[in-house]
Amino acid sequence: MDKLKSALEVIKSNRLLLTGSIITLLVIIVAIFAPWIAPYHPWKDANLLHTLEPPGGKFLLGTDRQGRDLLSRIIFGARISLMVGLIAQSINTLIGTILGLTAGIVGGKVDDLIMGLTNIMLSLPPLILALGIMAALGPGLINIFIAVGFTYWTYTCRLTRGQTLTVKEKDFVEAARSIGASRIRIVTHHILPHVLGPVLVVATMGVASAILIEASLSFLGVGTQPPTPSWGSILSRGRSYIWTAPWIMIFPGLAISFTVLGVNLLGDGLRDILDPKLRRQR
Amino acid sequence: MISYITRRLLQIIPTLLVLLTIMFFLLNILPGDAALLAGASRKGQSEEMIKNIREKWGLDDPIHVRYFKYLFNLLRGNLGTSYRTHSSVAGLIANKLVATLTLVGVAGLGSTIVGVLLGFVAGIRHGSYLDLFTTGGAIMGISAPRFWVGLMLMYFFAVILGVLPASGYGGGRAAFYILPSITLGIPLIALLARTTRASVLDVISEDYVRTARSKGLTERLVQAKHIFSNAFLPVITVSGLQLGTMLANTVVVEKVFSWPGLGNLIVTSILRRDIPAVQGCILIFAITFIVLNLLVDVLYAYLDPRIRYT
Repeated sequence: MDKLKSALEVIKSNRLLLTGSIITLLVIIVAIFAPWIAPYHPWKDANLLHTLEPPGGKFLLGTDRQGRDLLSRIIFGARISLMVGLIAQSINTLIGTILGLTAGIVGGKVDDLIMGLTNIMLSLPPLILALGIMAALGPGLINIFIAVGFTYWTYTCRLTRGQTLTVKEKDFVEAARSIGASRIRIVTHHILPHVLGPVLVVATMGVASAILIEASLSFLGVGTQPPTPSWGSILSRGRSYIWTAPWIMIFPGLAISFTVLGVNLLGDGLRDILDPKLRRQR
Repeated sequence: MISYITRRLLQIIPTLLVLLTIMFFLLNILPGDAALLAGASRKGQSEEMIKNIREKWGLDDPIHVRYFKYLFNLLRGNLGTSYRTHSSVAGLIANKLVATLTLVGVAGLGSTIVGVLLGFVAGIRHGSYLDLFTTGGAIMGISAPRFWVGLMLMYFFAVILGVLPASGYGGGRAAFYILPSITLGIPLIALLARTTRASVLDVISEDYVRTARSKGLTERLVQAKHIFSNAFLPVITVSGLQLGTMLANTVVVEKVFSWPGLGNLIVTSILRRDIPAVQGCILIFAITFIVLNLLVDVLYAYLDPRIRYT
């Protein structure tokens, strides 16, 4: 209980963290309770009597070409964005941490191999890399998890390796080794805890990047497919109606920006708390 | 310096080879018969026609044979034949690459000038409204998705005000460049404004700036010579690194503005399962990205004599 209290104190004292947490929490709540919050079904409630209606009245944010309620589609879209953000970023963090730890601890040829692979991955911008993977796998939500999940691990990997190399030389690791701790115990009990802080910061920022990449892929038409209400694909459709029904492209963009801003602020706040030294490096 | 550049250039070859190999196998061991698709894009497909296409493109060969054929053709500068247009991929790309590179060039140059100026003034007059505006705008510029910013600009300037063309290439006329390059350049403007501002704030309190002022130089001269030139170095790194990101963002921005560039080509090729074209585009993206990064490193070493690469 005391721990929870002190955690809340920390959050309150850091305005970035506070704002970021509130925004992120809000989006999470909307995503979880989408079926209860949304006034209509995101794709079954197509009403051809109410196509392209402007915001206001029965449809708070207006309707699209099929007469579907835009607000409901955006509310359900939060699920897609958060799912991609969390699942894809978990894959990234897992791969990056394991490879980075291995490279840092084993060293030698293994290190060369892992860092070589990392550098090759980094020779393509993340969006192009994700596009390439989507080209191979084809569209669909599961494939987005994979494409985004295998795109960003390089940053975590480099960070983890660097941290591991520094921590490895510390006295407490030497002490643990000298009293006969096994290699695995040293990694899990002495090195990993020191690596996790910075990794958590990068992982949080990565959630924002993952959400943006998913939105971009869906906007380009190679991501989620209709009728899945992804913010990126709603926007993509909205592009055609910029002259007649601009609300279709305005609101999903606001939703993406709001969410990404929240997650980024959260990451900034976490960084201030976990590693004040990193603060200036962005 | 020359040996450093040579070594970096030589490193590109294995990097590209591994990248190409991974991409080739990923893209070619996939469901969906390329010949069927190519046949379907023409009217009146027949069994015989599909068989002809398979033979012509060597689709019946085992995958490793196709791989080595691909590499061999690549060495001769042949990027293959597009499944979609039945013309050479190299020609297809050459047409689009110019449009993309000029867009990146215009956006890069324009946003460097705007970003540095904004950051410089914000730094000199820190605490002012312009400073607050620049810092706030920088945060917004990073969180909003590129394609949405583009669409909003299009909505405001083309739909509401009607002063700029909404989309298209317009034969390369200047008016058509404005919205796409602003969209592409906003993150760079934001980042540069922040970096320049921080850099100016660092330099402004240096001893040599005080010395310059105390020996009676005009404020304008101090700002131009002592502050600006010293604050400029970090700006180059940021600018250069961001050029790569900008290159990737062209994919999205070109889609928004129907810009006939490489980004639009790769998306169309993916949607139409045109594997040779996808491979070609990725190769060109990778080469451009790597070369850009190399140029930045070299420029940096040239500008800052304290850095020596061994």
